[in-house]
Amino acid sequence: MGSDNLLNKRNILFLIILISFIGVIAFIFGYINSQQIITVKYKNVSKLTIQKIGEGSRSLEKETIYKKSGEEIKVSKGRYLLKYIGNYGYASDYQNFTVKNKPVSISLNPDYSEQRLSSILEKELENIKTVLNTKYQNIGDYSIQKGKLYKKGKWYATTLQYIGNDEFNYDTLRLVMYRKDNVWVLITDPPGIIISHQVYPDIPIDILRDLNNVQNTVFVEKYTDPNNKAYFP
Amino acid sequence: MNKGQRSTIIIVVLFAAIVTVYFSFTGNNDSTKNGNNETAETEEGLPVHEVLYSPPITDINGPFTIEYLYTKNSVDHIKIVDSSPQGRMNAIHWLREHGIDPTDLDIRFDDFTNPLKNREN
Repeated sequence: MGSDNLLNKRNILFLIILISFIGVIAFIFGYINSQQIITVKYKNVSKLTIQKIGEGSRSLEKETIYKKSGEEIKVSKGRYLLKYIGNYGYASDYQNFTVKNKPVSISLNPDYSEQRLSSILEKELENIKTVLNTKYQNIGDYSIQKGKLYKKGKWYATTLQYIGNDEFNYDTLRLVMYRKDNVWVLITDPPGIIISHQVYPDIPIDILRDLNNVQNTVFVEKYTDPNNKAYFP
Repeated sequence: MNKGQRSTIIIVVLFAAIVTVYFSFTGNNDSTKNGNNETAETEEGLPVHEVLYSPPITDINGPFTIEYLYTKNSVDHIKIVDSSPQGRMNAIHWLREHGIDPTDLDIRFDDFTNPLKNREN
């Protein structure tokens, strides 16, 4: 009887130790599984931080400063906000990314800053206008708006405000150009009311969104009807 | 507890542990699987907005009519017809108001003659 009790106690102790051991192993595996490696390679960036986005809310956890390009850091799975400050002449920006079951590798090379792009545009605008004036005989019916340079100054987009006398087609047109071998080439030929990503998949979509949605040009006064509910943001 | 019972318990406990570890490995927090996206995607990856499957939209004050043409799985393009320059602008505004970015679609304007088309030097 006494030896039976002892045996039962030993069995129970054995089970407790076994379950504890398995629990510890499961915990270690669970922890390892919840971690993942992020690698960010970058240049022209002076500061880069990563912050985990809290689950179910927009709250952000403490930010991690990324010390050098190519460094591998271990983080828990989830959604992250990556923010960077560009070197002088380069843009600062942010982006979201999600860490799942695979290591995440991100490459960053920021676009030029708005100030730098504006400065380049001042020098390039005449060349751009010359290309358009040469290409279209009746470009004189339009006022070429200043537009914007994008990325590293190789993409250009602008609007053409109609100033001619065609009452049925005085729409504002949009166009995108690309500087290839120091020559500006019109990509969207002919310019259109809306430049579609489906029609021009090679043009970066952020440029098209900015051109279609932000670069709005009002109609000239003679075509403006104050009673009409036209969209002028 | 005899040797056989003990072996059975060990096997059961080990099985439970393996299952637990397995699920902790395979389970993930992939939120995209939960379908948070408001916009469905076609096989070609083009966005398909429900509003485009409604009958043509006409606004006589625009003035504009938005028609849509689609294949089995995707919107091929949309047409804006019966419009003026102001109406075309209003039609684009209408699309934006309904959550459709005109950049994502091939929009064709039936009443518009592009003054810069085929008039090159």
